[in-house]
Amino acid sequence: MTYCFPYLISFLIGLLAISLLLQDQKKINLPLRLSLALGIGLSISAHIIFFGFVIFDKLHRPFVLTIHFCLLALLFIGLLSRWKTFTLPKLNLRKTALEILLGLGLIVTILYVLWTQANFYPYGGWDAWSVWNFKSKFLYLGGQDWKNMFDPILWRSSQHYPLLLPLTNVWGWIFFKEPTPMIPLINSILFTFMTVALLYSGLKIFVKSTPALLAALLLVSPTTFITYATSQYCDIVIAYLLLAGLVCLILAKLNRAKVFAFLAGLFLGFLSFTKPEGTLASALIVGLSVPFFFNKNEGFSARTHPLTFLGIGLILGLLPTILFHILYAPANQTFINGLNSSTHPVTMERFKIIMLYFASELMSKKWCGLWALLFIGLLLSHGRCFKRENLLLCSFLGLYGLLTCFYYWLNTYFEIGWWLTVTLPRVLLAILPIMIFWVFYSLWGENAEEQPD
Amino acid sequence: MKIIPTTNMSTPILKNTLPRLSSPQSIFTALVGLCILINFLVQTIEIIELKQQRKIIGYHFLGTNYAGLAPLLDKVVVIGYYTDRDLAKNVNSARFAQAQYTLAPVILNPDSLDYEFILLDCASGQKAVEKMIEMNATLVFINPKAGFILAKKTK
Repeated sequence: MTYCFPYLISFLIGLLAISLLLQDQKKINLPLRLSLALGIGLSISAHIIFFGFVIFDKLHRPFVLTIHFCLLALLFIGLLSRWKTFTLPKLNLRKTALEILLGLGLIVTILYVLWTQANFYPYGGWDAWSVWNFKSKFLYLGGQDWKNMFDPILWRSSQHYPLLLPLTNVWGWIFFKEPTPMIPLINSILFTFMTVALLYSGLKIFVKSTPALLAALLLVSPTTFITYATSQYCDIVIAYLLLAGLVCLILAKLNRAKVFAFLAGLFLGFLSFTKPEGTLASALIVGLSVPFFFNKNEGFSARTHPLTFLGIGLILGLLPTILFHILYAPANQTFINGLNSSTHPVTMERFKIIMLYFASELMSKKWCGLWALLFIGLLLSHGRCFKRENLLLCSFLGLYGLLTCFYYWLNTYFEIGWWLTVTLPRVLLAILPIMIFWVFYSLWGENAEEQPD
Repeated sequence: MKIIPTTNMSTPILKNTLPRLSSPQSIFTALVGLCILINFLVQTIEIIELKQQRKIIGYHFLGTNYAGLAPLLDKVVVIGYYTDRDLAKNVNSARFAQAQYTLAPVILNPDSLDYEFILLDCASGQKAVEKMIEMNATLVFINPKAGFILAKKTK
């Protein structure tokens, strides 16, 4: 039961916040609300713990728990005060018992597969015990000396990486006396499941149930995805937040709903606190949002413009990232600028290796033809994937791919073959859900009608 | 007798069905369905194989060998780490990283032995003892099976 408490508290915080924010959005289905709620709740919990570290310079349990319960009470009061105008999200009761049973069966099967795969490696993959869970232990057990994790001796642990995942692990351990390995494992399963649920429920707003379900099943079908996602790495957290941010942005644009712009800002802020890749992705999406939302004919004032709300959400979500970089983050010790280095210069050979490796990874057997299938999907969309409503997704994916390749080329600290082998599959894992979303949205998006829940 | 115009009945159905079946969505649905089916089959086989493998070999996290050291290193910030194994090799590097993970927040420094406590993590217990004597250190903890010693330097 102790395992459930932190998740239950975070889930309630997220659910109440989402319910308050989306009370006028009747079209938004219950699965989408639920999959956004846990992600938002866990990220808020991680942020509260981080602020505890900033204020008390150690893990301060009473502070963390007090803020959580105060927030919970405030949100509950907020919901009660709007109870008269509050409407519960639509639930389609026309569904047959068979459909409900099939749905539940599918959820249980996916959770069973995730649980089984995660338990093959209960301590996670290499970076789990040398980076993410390692940092979590410092935060949890380090007391006033937690900052020792930034000691240059520990350069192998990528000390400049932000702390969202380690703090989420610490939150899971908050009611324990010692850091049990079960919590990072549960976190990896939860984030994977939430990503799948978010892909299904996010797509379901724009397309019919069958393609949305196919998209979700396609995501969990390759063993490679499940293995990486349950390795207790941060990449699945990036995948989830990236998808959440982009789905909210598209909803903000299509529904002209400021509240989704605010949520998108919040998710992108959280995303920046995951990993440098997350920070890059977040900055890129925010940059692309400006032309995405800029339309002279829409008649928004500065106060009501979605970009204003995106900015507010972003500032709230970004605060820990800014504080982390100002107060704690050491310089990246694993970076050599190949353009300036005489010992490790950038070469054309390196560029060719990156391109070849990229292509061979996409076509690799381990992805079971998934990427090839997605490219076929893009071709079948007859150019719809590049239409105006899809521009945000395709320009983000294109630019993110280009910048990632550029960074691989520029940073000559690592031997490129080894570096690509270790990290490229994870970069692909993080963008896979939005790639699937893009393909399915391009193919079925125009059929978007009022969908039954 | 009335003749049923069978050909006329089937034509509209074919007219409607064929374009629908050859639509991009239908083609992609078929491909995705096939891909999901094959992938789940492959995944099921892999899970069964790995489960059987785990029954025979089991899972062993090397870091758990070092768990007994944690209470002995209370309030210690950094200790030295010595090994005669090649840390460039993956298996040895993993051993070091897992020891580091298990003992965190104590830091293991593989580049210096200039600390009060040294973890001597050698290919055999014998080699670790020899290194300890060479360093003029005293024994705090030994795990001969895993081949490591926690030693304290004599002041």
